[in-house]
Amino acid sequence: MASAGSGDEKAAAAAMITLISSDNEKFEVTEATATLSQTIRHMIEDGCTDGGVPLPNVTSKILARVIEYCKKHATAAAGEEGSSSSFSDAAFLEVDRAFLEELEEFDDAFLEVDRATLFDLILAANYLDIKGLLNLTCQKVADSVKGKTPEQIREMYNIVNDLTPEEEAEIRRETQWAFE
Amino acid sequence: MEEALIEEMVEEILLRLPPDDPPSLVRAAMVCRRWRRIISDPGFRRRFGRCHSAAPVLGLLANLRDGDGLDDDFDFVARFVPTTPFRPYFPDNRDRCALDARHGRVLLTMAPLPPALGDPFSWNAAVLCAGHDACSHFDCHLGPFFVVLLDSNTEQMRVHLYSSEAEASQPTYGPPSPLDGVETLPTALVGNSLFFLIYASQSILEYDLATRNMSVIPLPPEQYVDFAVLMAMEEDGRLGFARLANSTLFIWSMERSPEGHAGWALIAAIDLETLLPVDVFSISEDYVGFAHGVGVFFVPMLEERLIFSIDLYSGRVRVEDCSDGRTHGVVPYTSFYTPDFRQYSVAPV
Repeated sequence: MASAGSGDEKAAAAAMITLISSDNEKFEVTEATATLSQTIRHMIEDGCTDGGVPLPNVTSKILARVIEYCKKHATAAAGEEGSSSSFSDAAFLEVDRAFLEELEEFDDAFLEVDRATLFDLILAANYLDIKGLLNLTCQKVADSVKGKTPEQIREMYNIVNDLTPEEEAEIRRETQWAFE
Repeated sequence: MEEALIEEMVEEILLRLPPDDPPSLVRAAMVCRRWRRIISDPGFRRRFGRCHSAAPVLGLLANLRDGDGLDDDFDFVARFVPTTPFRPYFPDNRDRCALDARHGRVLLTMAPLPPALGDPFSWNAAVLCAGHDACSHFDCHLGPFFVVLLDSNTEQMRVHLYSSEAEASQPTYGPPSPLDGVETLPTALVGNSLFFLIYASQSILEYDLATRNMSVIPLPPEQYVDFAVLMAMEEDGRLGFARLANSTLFIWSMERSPEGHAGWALIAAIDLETLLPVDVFSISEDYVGFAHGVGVFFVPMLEERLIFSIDLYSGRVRVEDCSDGRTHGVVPYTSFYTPDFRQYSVAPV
């Protein structure tokens, strides 16, 4: 990372946070981006971010994706704050709508990842306490489970069936309507 | 997934399955022991409720009479008509009539009533969780409950408050009793008050559960209690009144003046001929049902086994089929469903 030079650069750098992945890669992000994570927000509030924030549970590959999400959504959050103070002009609302659509498209594209990455993102979102990202990723998995048979779900997610045939039969008998 | 995700993360995923598709949770509970344990946990039911804004309409209790039609010996049946794949253990409650449903419970009465219990149009009753405003109602369907019975067989109207946990207390007396006074239609619970439709005086009786006081509220101007339904409009905490007339559904909202006087504002007039995919002669105006909290109306069709459900928020219209029988009223059943399969575990999980 480039070291701070002139005074102006120092002022800009003051609002920057360095995140360090488990494989020791450093990412410099704005405070606004970093504080989408409640975990990092608390560390900043406690003043323990000097020299970077080590994130031993997150690899550089996943952290890069998480930062990508946070950057996009931090802009969105800033936009919301700005528009709340302005009057409800039709032009403003139009811009808001376009931006929300863009955000939705971003989220859809963001979720186009393999299963292992999706699970790593869920774990990272949970560890970093990023509510929006946790919701987005968990909902993606829930949507893939919806409407599937137990066999299909097991196959999709490599889950071993440890229920006895008797237990399965009891559940089926009890809730036959769920299997029709 | 087993190794990759810790338990809390699996729960986070399962909490996001849709409440209006109960089979999703049942099938997920059959994936493996871990998933079954997570879904069957009593805490999961509460968290599932908190995660989703409103409980879905799982079905409706249709009060109908069926039979072979040969000897005119029609039976009263309170039949569960599903609006989702969910099915109860006993869909047909023979010789019963559904009066009310709330907080996961259905209140049934005998039908026809034994003569000793008097005229069926002189009383009405409601059911509610005993915790009422202190409870989230996500997981209280097996807990203590109240039955509130309004009776106009005496000179003054009486409210009896029965608790599942305690002896019946003395009734509360209210305004003078009009003859054949009380309409047997579902009640509305708004805040601390239960609201009943009163036929004889064409008014609404409010019973305050906290103070046990009764007061009379006039209907909206030029409205009547027949073909009407009371609405708990949860989004603004007000009482609503809806009535079918001239193939239009009129919806009123109650407003109180600073002095506490009740007034009404007409907030919608929905032309059913435009909304429903049938001609006006196919729509019946015999009754109208309302699912509180989710804004779904139920409007009968002239063909007595069919009922339209109209979702006010999404505009979605569906036809529900009561199978055989002539339906004369409905009580919507709104609840979260989460399965509990702990009893089927043959080994510790």
